[in-house]
Amino acid sequence: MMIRRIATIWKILNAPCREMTLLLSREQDDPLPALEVFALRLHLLYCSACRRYKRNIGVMRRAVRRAADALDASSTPALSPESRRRIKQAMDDSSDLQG
Amino acid sequence: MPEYYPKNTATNPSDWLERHGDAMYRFALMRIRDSEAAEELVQEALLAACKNQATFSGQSSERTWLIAILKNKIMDEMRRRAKVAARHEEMDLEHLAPDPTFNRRGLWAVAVERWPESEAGTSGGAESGEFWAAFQGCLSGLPQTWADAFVLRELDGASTEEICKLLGVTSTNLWTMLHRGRTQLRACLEQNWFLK
Ligand SMILES: [Zn+2]
Repeated sequence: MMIRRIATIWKILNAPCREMTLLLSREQDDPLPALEVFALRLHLLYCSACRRYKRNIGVMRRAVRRAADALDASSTPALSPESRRRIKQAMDDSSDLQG
Repeated sequence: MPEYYPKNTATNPSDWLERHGDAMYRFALMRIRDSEAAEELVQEALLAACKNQATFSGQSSERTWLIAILKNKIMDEMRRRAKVAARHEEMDLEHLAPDPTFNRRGLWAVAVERWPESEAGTSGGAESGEFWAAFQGCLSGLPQTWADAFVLRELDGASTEEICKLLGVTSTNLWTMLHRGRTQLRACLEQNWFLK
């Protein structure tokens, strides 16, 4: 029992970049357990590639949100004239049915 | 007591399409990523709104109310297509091909570059449209369910709990989908935008 627990802790502390980037991604969505936070901090001390990954996914998140906001506030793309006509027709039909 | 907020006074279905149709279309297109499906959802939402006019309280704006109805339709569509995808391999993470970003020992197999501080012109204006196009191109390289999970999380700020329920996956699977998705998007945007 004790040995298994130590083995688990050892595994998390020594996980490679693939598992560390999974934690970096997960950290953007949910709080991490304390051991994982510790393991990640330790890993980032000596791994510059994972440090850049962390920064890049943060930049990516902000860029996507900003672009989405800008698109929300813009006036394109818009419904095509045909689809607008089709939707209007469908709305008229349904209001006729409802009387 | 006089009624200061009588129901339905502010809203007239015949104006909805004209006043909110394009905004609704953009909202749907950004999330569903298919123009025909987005048009279809706008129509469904407007018809549902006609039927349920009584639920419009006048407390929120007409636009907010219509977008809320549309959002429900979008979630239904995402739930539906996640169910279809569940029959295919993209949701079967156990048997998924290993991430080519890492070698067999789990170490980086590709370079991770430092991106410029400026965040490359994504601060709004004309360039944000170009960034959006690059982002959509990269997103289309992902399995649909991964892309939907990313969109729900990043555009709508949905919690992982909500996304798991909607897409019918466990949280461990969702974390993996988001991780693989982000890793692939990061590499794609590095090539097509940030270091272009
Ligand atoms: Zn690393």
